[in-house]
Amino acid sequence: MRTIKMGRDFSPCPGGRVREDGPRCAEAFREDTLRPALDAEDVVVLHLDCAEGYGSSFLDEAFGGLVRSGRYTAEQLHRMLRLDSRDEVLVREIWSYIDHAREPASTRAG
Amino acid sequence: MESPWMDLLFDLVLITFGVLIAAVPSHFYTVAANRRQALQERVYKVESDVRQLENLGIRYWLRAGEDTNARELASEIKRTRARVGRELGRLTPGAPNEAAFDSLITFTQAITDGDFESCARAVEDRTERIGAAADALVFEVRDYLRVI
Repeated sequence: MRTIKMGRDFSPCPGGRVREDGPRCAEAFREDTLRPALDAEDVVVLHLDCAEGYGSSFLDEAFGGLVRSGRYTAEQLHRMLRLDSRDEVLVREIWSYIDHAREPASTRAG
Repeated sequence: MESPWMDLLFDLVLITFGVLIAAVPSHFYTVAANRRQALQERVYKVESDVRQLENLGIRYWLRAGEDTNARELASEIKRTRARVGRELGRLTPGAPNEAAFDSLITFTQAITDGDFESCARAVEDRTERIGAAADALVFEVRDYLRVI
């Protein structure tokens, strides 16, 4: 099991969607921090409260993007990812992006 | 033969008993009133933060992506949104209000989805969308007061 603290392991001020938006963007978080942790561990615990806050654009790109990239399915992420926050709505929002993200056609069942 | 002291003692016991009977419901009423007032204050605080967030969101989208003031506004939006989320959860701990939670997600998306914090973002008038989502959230937040 690996623990990621957003403020310590990525940035206390995450923001933006793609790398053109800056080094604290969702794409950088997904590709450089979250995905390597998921590739290496069975369970990843992500502490969200040590950052100033999150925009929906960041959350959609970081978490929905994991499913859209075809690397993980929503079911796998439900097993592997633990989201920790005092803000229950934030956690729900993240799961909604994971659950509603469309997987690439080649990885979809059937 | 009855003693006047016995009568007095009996009266005292009756009075004490009466006071106790009156005090118990009064105590519960006071506790409930205090609880309601505390909840009311928290609800008004959330409502005020929602209106502040609405204002910030509308102002943000009227600035282009490269505007440095927009970046400061984005930070303030994220901090305020985080506070609203925590406060909303505290209104009814352990008993989430699904409608209010869904409304906060819709409101958050109205302000921070799409090109939020993107350098390429163009000016966009989201006044109507953000305002409608804020109104819906305030309606759900006020609903907490009907619980008690």
